[in-house]
Amino acid sequence: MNDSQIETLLRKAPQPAAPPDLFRQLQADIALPKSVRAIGEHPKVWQNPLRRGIPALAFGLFILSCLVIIGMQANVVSQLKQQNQELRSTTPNLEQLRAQQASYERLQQQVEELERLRRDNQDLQRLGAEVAQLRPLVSEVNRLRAENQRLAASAAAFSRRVQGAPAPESEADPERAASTRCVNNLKQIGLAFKMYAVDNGGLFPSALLQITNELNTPMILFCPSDSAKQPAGVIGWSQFHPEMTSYQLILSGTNDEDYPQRIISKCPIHGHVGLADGSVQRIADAVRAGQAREVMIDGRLTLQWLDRKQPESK
Amino acid sequence: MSANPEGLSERASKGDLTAASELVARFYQRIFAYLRRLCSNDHDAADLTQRTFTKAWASLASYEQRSTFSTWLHGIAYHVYVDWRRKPNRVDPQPEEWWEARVAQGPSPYEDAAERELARQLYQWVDQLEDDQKQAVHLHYYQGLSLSETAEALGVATSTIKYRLRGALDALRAKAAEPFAPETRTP
Repeated sequence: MNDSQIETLLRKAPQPAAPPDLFRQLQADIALPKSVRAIGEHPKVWQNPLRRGIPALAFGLFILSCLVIIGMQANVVSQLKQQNQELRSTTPNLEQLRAQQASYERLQQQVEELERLRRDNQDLQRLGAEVAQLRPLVSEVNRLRAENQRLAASAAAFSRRVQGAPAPESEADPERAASTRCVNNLKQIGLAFKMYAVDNGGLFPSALLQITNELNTPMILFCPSDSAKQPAGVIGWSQFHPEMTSYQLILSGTNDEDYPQRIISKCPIHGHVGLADGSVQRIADAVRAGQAREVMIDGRLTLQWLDRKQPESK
Repeated sequence: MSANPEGLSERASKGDLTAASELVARFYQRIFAYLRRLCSNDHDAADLTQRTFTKAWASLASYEQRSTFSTWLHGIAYHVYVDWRRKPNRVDPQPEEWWEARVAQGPSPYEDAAERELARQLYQWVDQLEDDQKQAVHLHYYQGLSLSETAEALGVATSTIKYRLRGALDALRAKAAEPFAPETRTP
């Protein structure tokens, strides 16, 4: 069965007949409402004609206000346009003004720098003047200090003369006193070498730390005039290192019983030398005068007197 | 009686009882037939027809003649039927004998007995369609309303009516194509 056959049969659907008394009942039930009958018969009530015009009036006012606002905005826009044009007309000079501004700022910085240099220069000149004023005062102070020392020394000498005591070497000549203490140091070092040799079959030490038992303190190993190597305070063997010593020590580890003139220690500051026999010679002046020299004998650095006239040994 | 229904409704709205009576005479058979096919008995159909006209008179003032009076009246009948269906225990299937009797009664529009039997089965299948499709078939095919009038009466778009009718025809064609379709007679 196709659609058209179905549609044809549906259109042929039977029409059920209504009951015979239905029409009469429906006619009897017709009840048209009074409101329907009265349509168009209502008496006209008077209305204020302005009421009808209020919406139009409101709309007109709204349009009018809109026009006013638009006009104000247009005025503002025209003013802004005018300002914009004025600004645009000044724009071509903008780059030039900017460059001028930059150069002005640069010049201002230079001026400030110059001003600062000028102030520095003034300070420098002022300080120079003050230094020039103080310089005579310094020389005067030095002169007064020397005079003071001289007076103090003469006063001390006078008091010693009064008491009949000789002036101590350290006060009379500090350098000579230091040289004497250096000789004493070398003497003690030589003695320590000898004591070591007695305990070790006649062999001298081959290392400095081998004679720590024979030396009471490492302070002996510092020349009093050696301000560069002089320790800040008294030190013990635990703080001492062999390279700290002021003296040149020849630690051969040999038996030098037959070479008493062999040099075992030397002070590079005073030129004193310690010999294997335990003596210490002040040979600086003799070497300069060509009366003594250091020579190698059997591989040992030995002191040799040329004029056979030895100074007194210490 | 040459006045059209719209003119009669206008006169009735102004209180013309004659015009109202004329409208009843013209439409009560169609409205009763529409409602009778949807209900299971004559009494309910007559009752719904009376309610339809009562509602029509009460709403006559709101009829603005944007559709034909027939369409407007069918729309009222449809809503009256829907309201009636909402009440509990109102889903009564149409007795199969009723369609058989209707098909057999009176001068037969069918060509032969086979077509009559086919039509009887077809009307029963229509009763088994979904409500939306069934209403579209009733108003368009049984009541003879156009597609736009059917859409107006049911308060939907014309395209919706077309869609529902297409679905209904597809369903009916599928039913007819089923071999040895079982009889759905109720005992």
